[in-house]
Amino acid sequence: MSHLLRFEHLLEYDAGKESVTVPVTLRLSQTWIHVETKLDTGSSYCVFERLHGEMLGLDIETGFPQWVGTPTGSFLTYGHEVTLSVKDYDLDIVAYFARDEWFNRNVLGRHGWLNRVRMGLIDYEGKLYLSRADDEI
Amino acid sequence: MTTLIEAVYENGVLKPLVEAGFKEHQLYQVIFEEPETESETRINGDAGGEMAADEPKRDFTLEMLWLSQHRHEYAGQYVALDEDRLVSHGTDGREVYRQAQAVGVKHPFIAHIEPADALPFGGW
Repeated sequence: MSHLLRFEHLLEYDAGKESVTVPVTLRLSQTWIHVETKLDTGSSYCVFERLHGEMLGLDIETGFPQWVGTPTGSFLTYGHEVTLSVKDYDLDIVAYFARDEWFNRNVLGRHGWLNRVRMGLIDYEGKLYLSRADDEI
Repeated sequence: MTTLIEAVYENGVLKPLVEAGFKEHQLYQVIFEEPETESETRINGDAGGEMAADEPKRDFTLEMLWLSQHRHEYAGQYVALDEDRLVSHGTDGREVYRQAQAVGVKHPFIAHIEPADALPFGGW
């Protein structure tokens, strides 16, 4: 049995890199930043480095505290409501900003990203197909 | 038929700035559009294109292409891009932001490029 999916957008990324990268915009009111992120289907949340939250004008520690576990330990983040934009999609999400300055990863995880879109991935061609989760297939 | 022309309002009269070939006593419909101010049209320096202040850019094709071609030259650094133009770079992300904004790029595309000896990312 075969399945046919249709997507609205195609994002092409550098397949020669170690990660699937997605350019996104984070927006808070009339302030926004454009950053490069990694797609991480194993991450529960969308996590960003502290710097980007501060550039949005956030007081990081006033957010909802959330520890994030890894196989080797854990790190503290703070959740803030922001708008995450990719292509013409604007998603109101809770983004988690790392407390520690040294943390320089930006990942799109499950809550806020994977559960809001439909994706098709052809990694050897560097192609990521994208639609809203509620778009017609 | 719809024709777009520019006109200026002076002393109670709307005057076309070009020869529009209007017919005497012909009734025309006019759609007004206020010109945007300079601060509204330029949010990303000269290369930012015609974009309203409340509308972030949506297409990062040029930025991603630049990264694929130059990423190895800036290992371990933050880079701030304005389309396919490198605006600033360095190991201090805040300073990279500040430098980009200081040269008029209010909303640079920021990427942190991993050091050449960085281990593969294992997720978490």
